[in-house]
Amino acid sequence: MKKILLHVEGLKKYYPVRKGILGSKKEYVKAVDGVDFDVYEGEVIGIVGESGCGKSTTGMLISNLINKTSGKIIFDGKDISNYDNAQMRSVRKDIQMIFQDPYASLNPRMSVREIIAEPLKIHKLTSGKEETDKRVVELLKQVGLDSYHAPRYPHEFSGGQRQRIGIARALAVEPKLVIADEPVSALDVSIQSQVLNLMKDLKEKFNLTYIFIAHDLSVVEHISDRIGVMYLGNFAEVADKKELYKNPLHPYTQALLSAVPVPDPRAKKDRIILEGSIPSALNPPSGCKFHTRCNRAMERCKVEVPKKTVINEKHYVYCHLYDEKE
Amino acid sequence: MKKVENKNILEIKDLHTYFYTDNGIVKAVDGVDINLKEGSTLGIVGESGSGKSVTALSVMNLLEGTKGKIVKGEILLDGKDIVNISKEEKRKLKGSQIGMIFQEPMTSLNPVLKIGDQIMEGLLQHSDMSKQEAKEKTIKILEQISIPRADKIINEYPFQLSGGMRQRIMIAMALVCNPKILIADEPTTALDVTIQAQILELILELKKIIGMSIMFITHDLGVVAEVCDEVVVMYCGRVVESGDVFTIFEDPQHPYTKGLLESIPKLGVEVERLDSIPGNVPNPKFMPKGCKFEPRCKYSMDICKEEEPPFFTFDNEHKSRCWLCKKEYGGEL
Ligand SMILES: Nc1ncnc2c1ncn2[C@@H]1O[C@H](COP(=O)(O)OP(=O)(O)OP(=O)(O)O)[C@@H](O)[C@H]1O
Ligand SMILES: Nc1ncnc2c1ncn2[C@@H]1O[C@H](COP(=O)(O)OP(=O)(O)OP(=O)(O)O)[C@@H](O)[C@H]1O
Ligand SMILES: [Mg+2]
Ligand SMILES: [Mg+2]
Repeated sequence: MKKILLHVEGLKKYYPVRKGILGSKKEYVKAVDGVDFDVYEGEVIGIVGESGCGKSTTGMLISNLINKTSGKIIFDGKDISNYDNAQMRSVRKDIQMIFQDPYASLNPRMSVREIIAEPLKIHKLTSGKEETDKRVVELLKQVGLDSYHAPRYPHEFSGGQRQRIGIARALAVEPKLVIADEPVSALDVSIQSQVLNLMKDLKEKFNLTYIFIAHDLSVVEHISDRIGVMYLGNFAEVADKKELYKNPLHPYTQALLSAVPVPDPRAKKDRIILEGSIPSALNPPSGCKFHTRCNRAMERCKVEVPKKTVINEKHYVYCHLYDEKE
Repeated sequence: MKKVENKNILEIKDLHTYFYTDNGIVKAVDGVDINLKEGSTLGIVGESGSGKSVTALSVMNLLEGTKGKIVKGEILLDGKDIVNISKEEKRKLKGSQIGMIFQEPMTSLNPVLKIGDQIMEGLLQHSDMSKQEAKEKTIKILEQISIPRADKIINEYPFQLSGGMRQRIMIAMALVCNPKILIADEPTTALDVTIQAQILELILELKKIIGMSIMFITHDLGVVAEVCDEVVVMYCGRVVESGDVFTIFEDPQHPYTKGLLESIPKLGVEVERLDSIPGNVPNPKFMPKGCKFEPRCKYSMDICKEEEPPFFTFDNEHKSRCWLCKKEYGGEL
C-alpha cells in the first residue's frame, strides 16, 4: 500500500461578497464546496475542470495561502488544518506552489536572481553568495533560461519566461509536494516538453509528489498517474489516467474530452456541446450541480446530491447514472 | 467560383523593436514581416521569447513606459502608417479599430476598478451609448463569454475572479467595440476546453458578422489547426516560416517548425518522454552569425554557420528561411 502524503476531507472555501446597494447583506461564492481526496506519495494527480470551478482555490487552501472555511488537511501524517503561521513554517518548505499568473506572483522590484535566491536563503539550502549564485544559475538552466537572465527584472521577460521563473523558484527548495497551477500554459510545445520531462526527472530523483492543475488534457494525460475532474466546487470523477480517457463516465468528463482541439487542420470535430449557461457559485443548482447542463439528467438529479460511487479501486464518480444499485 | 484575393488590412514591414535595458540591448523583434489579410485569421506561433507579444505591443503602440522602441520598420493599417502619427490618432485607433487581448490579464486589468466599469469605459469612449445601454451591453457580452453571475460580477474586482474569468474579461474588453482587427495574445490559455470552444466560436462568429481580421498568438497548435487560415512561425525575433495552415501542418519547410510539430503531446498516445528540440535559444550576446537556429539544427550545413538565410518561396505564398530550401542545397527539407 502506498503512503498517503496528503489527505483532504470536506474542504470548503466560501468567499463573502456584498449584496444590495448598501452592501449590508452578505452572500457567499462557494468556490470549493466540500472536496475530499487523497494524494499518494510519489504520484502525480492531475486536476482539470471548468474555468472558475475552484482548482486554484483548492491549491491555495492546501498550501495555506488562504484560510479555509472548513475542512481537514493532513499532510505527511500531521493534521495541519489549524496550524497558525508559526507552525506552518515547518511545512512551508515542503509544500510549494507554482502560481497560475506568473506576473502577479513575482515581486516586480526583485531581480530574477533575488527571487530564486530568496527561498534558498530562507531555508538555508545554500551557504554564501557564491554557492547561492551558482545554484540560481543551475536552476535557471534547468528551465531553459540562460544565466544572462539572472540580473533582469520580471517585467523584462516574456510570458513563458516568467512562467519558468516561477517553476525554478518552486523547485529550488526541493519540496515534498508541488502544487503546479497551469505551470506550462504559456510555453511553446518544445519548451513545454522540456519542462515536463524535467518535472518527471525531478519527481523520480527526489520522490516528489505533484498536484498538477491544467486545462491542456494531453499534457495532463502525459504527466499524471491519476486525474480528478472538478465541476463547480466539487469533484465529478476521479480515475486512473488511462481509465479516464478510455472510459469516462461522468457526462461532464465526456463533454470535456470531446472538446479537445486536434492539431490537424483537416480533423472532423464531434463535440458534445454543453447546453445552458454556467451556473453561479453564489447559487449553485440543487441536487447534482451539473444537472442544468447535463444531456442525461433525470428527475432525481435535480434534488439528490450524488454520492461517491466506486467503480473500481482507482475509479470513482459522483453521478446518479451509476448508483442505481443502491 | 473565383477566389477573391483579399487585401492586406495590416502590414508589418521589416519591424525592429529593441529594448535598451541596463544590461544591454534586447533585440526582441529583429526584422519581422507579417501581412494580415482582411477577414482572415492569422496564427502566430513560435518559441517562448521569440518576440510575438512585442510584435503585438508594437502594433498597439504600447511600448511607452518600457525601455522599448521601434527602431526600424513600418506598420500599415489599411495602407496608412500608424507608427508616426499623433497621440490623439493613436488613442482613437485603440479600441475602436484594433482590439487587443493581452497575454497576462493582470498586466492590463486595473486592480482597483470594478470589472463592469473597465469594460464600459471603452464603450462610453468610442460610441454615444448612454450609461444604461453600456451596462446592458456589458452584461450581455459577459453572458456570451459564459461568465456566471454576470450582473454581480460587474461590481466585483479582478482579484475576486479566477484566472480564466479574468482572461475572459480581457476578451470582453477587446470585443465590445467591434474592432476591425483583433490581436489576441494567448487568449485561451487559462480556459478549459469547453469554454475555449465557446469563445473560439464567438470570435469566429464576430469575424463573419463584422468582418473582423484576427491575429492569433498561441502555443496551442490544436487551436491553430482549428481556427487559423494562415500561420507565421517565429524564432529569435524573426519570422522563419509562413504559409497557409494546411501547408504548415502537412509540409513544414523549416527545421524549427518541424521540431515544434513533433513536440506536440498527443492525446491517447503514451510515451515515457516527450520529444523536444534539443538545446536552448542562443544568448543574445553570442548570437550566431548565420542562421539563428543553426546551433540546434540537425540539418546544419557549413553555409548555415556563415550566412543568415533569406526567405525561399514555394507555391501558395509558402516561405521558409532555411538554406535547405535553396535549389543548390536540395530545394526542400
Ligand atoms: N519590457 C521589456 N524589457 C526588456 N526586454 C523585454 C521586455 N519585454 C520583452 N522583452 C524581451 O523580448 C523578447 C521577446 O519577448 P516577447 O514577450 O515578445 O516573447 P513572446 O514570443 O511573446 O514569448 P512567450 O511565448 O513566452 O509569451 C524576450 O527575450 C523578452 O525577454
Ligand atoms: N478573492 C476572491 N474573492 C471572491 N471570490 C473569489 C476570490 N478568488 C476566487 N473567487 C471565486 O471563486 C471561484 C473559483 O475560483 P478559482 O480561481 O479557484 O477557479 P479555477 O478553477 O482556478 O479557475 P481557472 O481555471 O479559471 O483558473 C470563482 O467563482 C471566483 O470568482
Ligand atoms: Mg485557476
Ligand atoms: Mg508572449
